[in-house]
Amino acid sequence: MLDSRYKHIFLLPALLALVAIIIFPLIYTVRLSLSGWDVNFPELDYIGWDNYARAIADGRFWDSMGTLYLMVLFCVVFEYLLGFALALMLWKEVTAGRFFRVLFIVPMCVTPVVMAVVWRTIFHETLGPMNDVLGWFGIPAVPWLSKSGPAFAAVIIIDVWQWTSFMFILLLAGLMSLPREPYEAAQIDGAGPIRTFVHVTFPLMAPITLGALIIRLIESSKLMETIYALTSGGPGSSTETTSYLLYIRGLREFQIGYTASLSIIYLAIMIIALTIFARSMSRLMIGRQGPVRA
Amino acid sequence: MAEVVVSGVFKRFGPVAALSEIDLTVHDNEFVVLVGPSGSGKSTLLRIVAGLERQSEGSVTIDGRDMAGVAPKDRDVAMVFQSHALYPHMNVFDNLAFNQRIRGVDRKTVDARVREVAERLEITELLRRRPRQMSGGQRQRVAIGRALVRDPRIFLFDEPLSNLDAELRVRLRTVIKRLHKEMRRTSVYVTHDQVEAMTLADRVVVLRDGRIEQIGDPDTLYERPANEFVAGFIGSPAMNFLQGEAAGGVVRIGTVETTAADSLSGPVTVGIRPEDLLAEGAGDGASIRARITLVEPMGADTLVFCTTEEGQELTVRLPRYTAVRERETLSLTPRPGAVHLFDPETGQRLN
Repeated sequence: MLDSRYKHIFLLPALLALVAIIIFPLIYTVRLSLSGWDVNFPELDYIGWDNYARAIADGRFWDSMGTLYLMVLFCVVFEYLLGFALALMLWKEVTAGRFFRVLFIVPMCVTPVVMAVVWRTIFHETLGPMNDVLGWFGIPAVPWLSKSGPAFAAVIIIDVWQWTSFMFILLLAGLMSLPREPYEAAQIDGAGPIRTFVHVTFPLMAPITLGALIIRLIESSKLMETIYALTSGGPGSSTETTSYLLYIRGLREFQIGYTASLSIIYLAIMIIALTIFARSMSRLMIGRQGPVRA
Repeated sequence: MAEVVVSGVFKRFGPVAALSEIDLTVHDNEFVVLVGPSGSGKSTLLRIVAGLERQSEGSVTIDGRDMAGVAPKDRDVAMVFQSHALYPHMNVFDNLAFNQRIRGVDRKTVDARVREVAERLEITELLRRRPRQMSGGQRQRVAIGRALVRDPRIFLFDEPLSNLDAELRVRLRTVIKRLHKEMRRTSVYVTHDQVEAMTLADRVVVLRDGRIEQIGDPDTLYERPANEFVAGFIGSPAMNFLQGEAAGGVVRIGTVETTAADSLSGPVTVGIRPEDLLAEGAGDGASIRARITLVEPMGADTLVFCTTEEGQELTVRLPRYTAVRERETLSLTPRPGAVHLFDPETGQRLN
């Protein structure tokens, strides 16, 4: 058919772009992961599954995965709770609400590396204002960047600071688009603010919440710039996330083949984990989807 | 017993007056329909009765008790919304039971009441479904059920059928009417559909621009509209309006004459309903002659659209078996005693 041939011609540029941007690098990475390409032998040879066997036995890789998940969990949970709380506060008309809405968006607009550098100064053990402020309340100086617990917390604080506004915007937009009538029905039924939240606001917001959570999960699991600029994965490897480890292995140590195999494993795990998460959350929050009718 | 008295109610949104000088008494067990074009303030009035909106001036009393400062939940009213407004994550049973549970009614009673209502509305097989798994008509049935379960003193309906297709609308209309006949509860119903108003109401309140134009039972509204607006709004197709001249107890419309009060003189607006224009009186020449532009067979009768020699558009409802064709000329006479006269300036009824 003539028109079907045209269709393919018109689709071609997009397909080519897709191949160039996604398909080719992906396949090339898979191929790389089966090679021993490194600083000494930059060649696309074939060494079978050796890289994968090494990856599976690599404790530091799995530790970084654990660190990442823990970090992401804390970040997204805090961002969601704070963002939702802020959105609820600014949902109803508040004096200067517009001003606050804009103000909350500022952190999101700043380059992560720049902010991490600023925060590094803030968190500085002796010179940083953070410990000064804590000192006013009689809290002893915290070794923010030189002890694993505080360093871990510092990374989370920065991420929460920077990305809560994203949650806030999405959730506020969601809140503002909610229909008025269910609230009036609840009012007439005599539901108080808590019941109204539980039975009206939260369920009506479920689809938006789910979307916001998934977007943030994907985004925050790429956590890298902040760590690069703030802690360099340290102290030790206590704040070393997978993407930061991949950066070290790949671009500092130039173990290209091995890093490719790590990336592939990481990608597979991420896809599986996010799929399971999205499924179970949507079941939990929205409920089993029956046949939907208009 | 539940009597709603609205007196001297004004509602302003900033400089805009949504309601002005509303006085209305809804008697016990009465079904009152508020009808009017969009923006007439009918929903606002209903929401003031429900307590969802506060009037700027005036008072609302239910059974003699002033409702100022009384929360919606304490007014013992139930409301059915246009968009059903069911709780999305609850199944039908929980939606119906929600209010009773909040009020601490014991489980057994709630259970029995929900099942009784479900049976009455024929939604028993839907009790385990969630709102999203039902059609629009089913959801609106559930929304009506949610109001019924509460057994309130007053039912409020805010355009409950407007989102449904025509067939469902007619079906649910009869459901609502039958329920009211059985339960005999005071009801206030808002709609922009005058057919709904006429079929459901004991009394109809016609609103325009936040003012009451007329209150009356459907027959009165149809037979003796108080002004030109009500005359044009009630009835479908709408009433025809013609220019007439009154003098000496007679109103002249072209060559046709009808009787009027002796005191009347000068120009008048003559309103004649489509079914009150008769096509048979062509004999004596005293008739309105109009050329047919369009014929719409409706089944039971035929609607004929035509233009008079003066260029005025007329709608005529003819019996089913009248043979008419487009481009023919009809000789029309108004049915004696079915002519409405209005003041052309104020629009008020003159006869």
